[in-house]
Amino acid sequence: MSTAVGTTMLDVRELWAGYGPVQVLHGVNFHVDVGEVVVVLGANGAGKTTTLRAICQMIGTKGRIELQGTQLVGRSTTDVVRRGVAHVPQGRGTFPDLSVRDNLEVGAYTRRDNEVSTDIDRWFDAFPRLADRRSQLAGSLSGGEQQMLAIARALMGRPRLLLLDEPSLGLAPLIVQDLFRRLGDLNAEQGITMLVVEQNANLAFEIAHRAYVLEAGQMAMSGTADELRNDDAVRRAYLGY
Amino acid sequence: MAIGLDTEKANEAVKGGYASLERFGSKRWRNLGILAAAVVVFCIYAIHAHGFRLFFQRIVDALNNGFIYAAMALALVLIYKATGVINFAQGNMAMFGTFIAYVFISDHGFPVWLGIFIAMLISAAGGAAIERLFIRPFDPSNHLAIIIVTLAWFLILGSAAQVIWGADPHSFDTPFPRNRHFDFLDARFFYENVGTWLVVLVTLVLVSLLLRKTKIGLAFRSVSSNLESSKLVGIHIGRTIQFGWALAAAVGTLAGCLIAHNTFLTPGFMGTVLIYSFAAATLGGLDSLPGAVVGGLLIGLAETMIGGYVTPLGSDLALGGALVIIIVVLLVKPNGLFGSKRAERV
Amino acid sequence: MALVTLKERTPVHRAYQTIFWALAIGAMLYVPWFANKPARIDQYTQVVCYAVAIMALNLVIGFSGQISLGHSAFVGVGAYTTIILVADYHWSYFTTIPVAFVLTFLLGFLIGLPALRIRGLYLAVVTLAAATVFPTLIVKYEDFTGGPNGKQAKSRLLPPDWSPLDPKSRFGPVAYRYFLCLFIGAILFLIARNVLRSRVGRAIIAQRDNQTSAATSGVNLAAYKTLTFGLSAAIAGVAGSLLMIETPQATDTKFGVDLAIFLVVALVLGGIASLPGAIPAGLIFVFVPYYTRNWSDNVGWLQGRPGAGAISGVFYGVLLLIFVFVLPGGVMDGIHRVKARLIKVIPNPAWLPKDHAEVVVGDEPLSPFPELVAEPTDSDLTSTTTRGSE
Repeated sequence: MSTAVGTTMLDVRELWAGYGPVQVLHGVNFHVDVGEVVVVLGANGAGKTTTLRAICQMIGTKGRIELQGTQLVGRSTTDVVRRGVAHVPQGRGTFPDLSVRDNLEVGAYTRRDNEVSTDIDRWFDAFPRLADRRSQLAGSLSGGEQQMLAIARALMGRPRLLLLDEPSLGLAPLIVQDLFRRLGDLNAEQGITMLVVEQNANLAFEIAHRAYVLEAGQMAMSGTADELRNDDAVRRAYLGY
Repeated sequence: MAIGLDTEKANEAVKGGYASLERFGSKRWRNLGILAAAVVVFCIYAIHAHGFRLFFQRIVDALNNGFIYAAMALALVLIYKATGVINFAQGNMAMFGTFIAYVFISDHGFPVWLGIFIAMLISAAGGAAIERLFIRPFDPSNHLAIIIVTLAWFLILGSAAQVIWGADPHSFDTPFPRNRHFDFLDARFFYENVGTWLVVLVTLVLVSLLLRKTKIGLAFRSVSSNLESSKLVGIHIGRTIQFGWALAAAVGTLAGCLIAHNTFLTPGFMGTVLIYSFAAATLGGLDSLPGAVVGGLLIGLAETMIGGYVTPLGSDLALGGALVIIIVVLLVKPNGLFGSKRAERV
Repeated sequence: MALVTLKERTPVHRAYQTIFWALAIGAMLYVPWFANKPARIDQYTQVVCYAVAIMALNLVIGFSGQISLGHSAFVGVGAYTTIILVADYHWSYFTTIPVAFVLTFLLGFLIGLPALRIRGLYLAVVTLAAATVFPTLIVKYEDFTGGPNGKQAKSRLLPPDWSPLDPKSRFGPVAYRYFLCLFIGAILFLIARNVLRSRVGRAIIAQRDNQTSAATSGVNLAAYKTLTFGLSAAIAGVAGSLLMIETPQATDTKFGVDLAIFLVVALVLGGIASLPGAIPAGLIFVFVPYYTRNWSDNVGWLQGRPGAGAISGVFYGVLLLIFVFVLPGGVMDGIHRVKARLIKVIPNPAWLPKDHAEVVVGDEPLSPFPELVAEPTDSDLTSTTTRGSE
């Protein structure tokens, strides 16, 4: 868990977002630096998923979202993705009718280079369980396998920023442990910048550099992972002790 | 409610009825067994009563229609998979495309194959244009509006064809050698028929390769599988759906051109074909491409065999038979033979 | 932005409502004299009959959110029921109506049963197939139905002795039939409206708007939907009977797929999900083809072309496209928008102090305590609207 590197990957200022007349985020501010893992904690309904969807421009937003200098607000989702943002949605978002291999291949849809097959092989090496099932339909995989597949698929696009929406949801504790360990490795070895929203804070804190707490659509707290982990309120609310 | 019916009890009764039909349908092997037994009995009766030669000949004839239904069903399923909507204009799009081929062939003396090919290209462009201009502006989940658009085009194309070319039948030449045949196992195989089968088979193989080996095919399958995630992967949804429309239009026109020689070309000639294709797609499973093909062949067989052997019905009521098949399938196995469970929803 | 704002349930509001209804009903009653010629009156009678059929269709498409492309079959069954009973078995027209109602109800129920439990598209497919099959059945069983030559009845309804209409004039019987159809149509309208307001109706509408929440709130609608479909079929069947009252002649071509599609088109143009939308829909249904055919007879390049009559289909299609983009709510929606600019009716809660004005020229705020309620502002949200974003 290295210390954060200087330049900012994602800078969000005064973000308002919602679904039609229902506003969920009320002026949210946060940033993610290059190479960091930032965790956003929050209970159900706090607006975590909405935050990620706002970054991807899947819902109406007002405010500023800058990806290394480029404004994202007003662009189409396709455009945002092509600029290097990869989103692993809640519930995995795999393509159930496509094979595991096809899932990976479609992850590289926006790439124009010819290293796609090498990358696919690389991911199969990293996740041998996926390699075993490479021709199986993604819908037949277990929850944990689908989560690995979703992450690998997102990374196939060689994104600048990886967004993860509650990766631990619905997974057994041992699987979640393995998952976060791998995420931590990915960040440490390849420097992949990550923004993770989670309810399950314990494991998320293991790999995070900094964290925010989102409550009722506003950032209630922010700080380094250590600071928040030792904060009484956070401990009681999100860490369970 | 004014009728004084106990609606709660009625609701429960209907739900119970559905559930038991569902249970009946889900015992796959038992049902296949029943179906197989019925087919065997039928075949024995047919051969015994009217001879093997007629039986075999009928099968050969049935396949002709069957492949056409398979092609149209394929077009329907393509659009359904990509958009979740049934394209009610499919039949008239195919009809109009066939008329375009007719214009090139009969009015301008083009060779039949060339005319068909050009018409397919024009249809593809037309399908792409319809998607871009009239479908894409709507939220993909607004199914009602999109269906209304397809109904509007059903009307426009059908009526325009009548205005331009009138309601009288036109003869459409076959691209295959006319009236030539070869005999095999006592049945007559016309070059025309065999040619149709081959062309449709080749088309199916090409479409399959297109979907499985090309990038746009991957995009299409992704959009059909998970629309949200397709956006997250950077796929341009509109253009992918447009591709589906263009492909479906071209396949439809091809099907129309292949069958026009037999049925003669009129503005309404694809009407019954469309119904049979619906039955085929329903039978095969609306979101299954191979299912569409199998469904088409089965419907073609059922139409000719039942129409031929069960004399009180005759061929006029074969269409009614198609309706019955649709209803029975929906009651017993709503996803069709190969459809996925997700297609079902109360 | 309304010109005038009225408060609900005030005497002014009630006066406005009374005047509105009086004018509407008066206009409908005045039609025979307005139309004057018997052929024209017949056309208006047709408007009523088709408006009833379209209203029936609206129960399925507008309120249940499903698509039926087969209501032509129900209209046809009702029509043939009436004409066969009257022509061959000498029943009175009146007594055939309940028979048509019950018969088409059962038919609708049976057709709806398999198709309604799954996506509405299957219903569209099944009904389209039914609409295509129906004319072939008519032709096939021609001993019973008269086949392609059709069936006619000699007897026609005449005004009874107690009515002011003279049965011997040309005007009397035609006007009588108009009023009869209008009266029966009104009854059916009331039935439809009551069903929609009942528990069944509200459940159907809830489910149309959000399938998942309706399902999770425990509302399972298999039987409700099928019953509504049956009722819709029954009303369409009676519309068919009424058509026979207007002109006692039935052929297979009148009740085919074309009719089914045109009913849907007229419904969309008139206004989905609004029962009174059936009135503009009926007018469109009868008069658009009539006038476009007149027009096409006089236009140079269409004259003498064998298929020229079909140009009305092109018109319909284009009109439909325009409406679906510009005014998806149909003519009724357009009327409501215009009305909203003129008159706005706002709630009038009982606890409001009585010294508030009853009529306000211009806008009155929605809430009596404007300082406490933040009005929704037009923010500069970049929104993914209901139109696609790519």
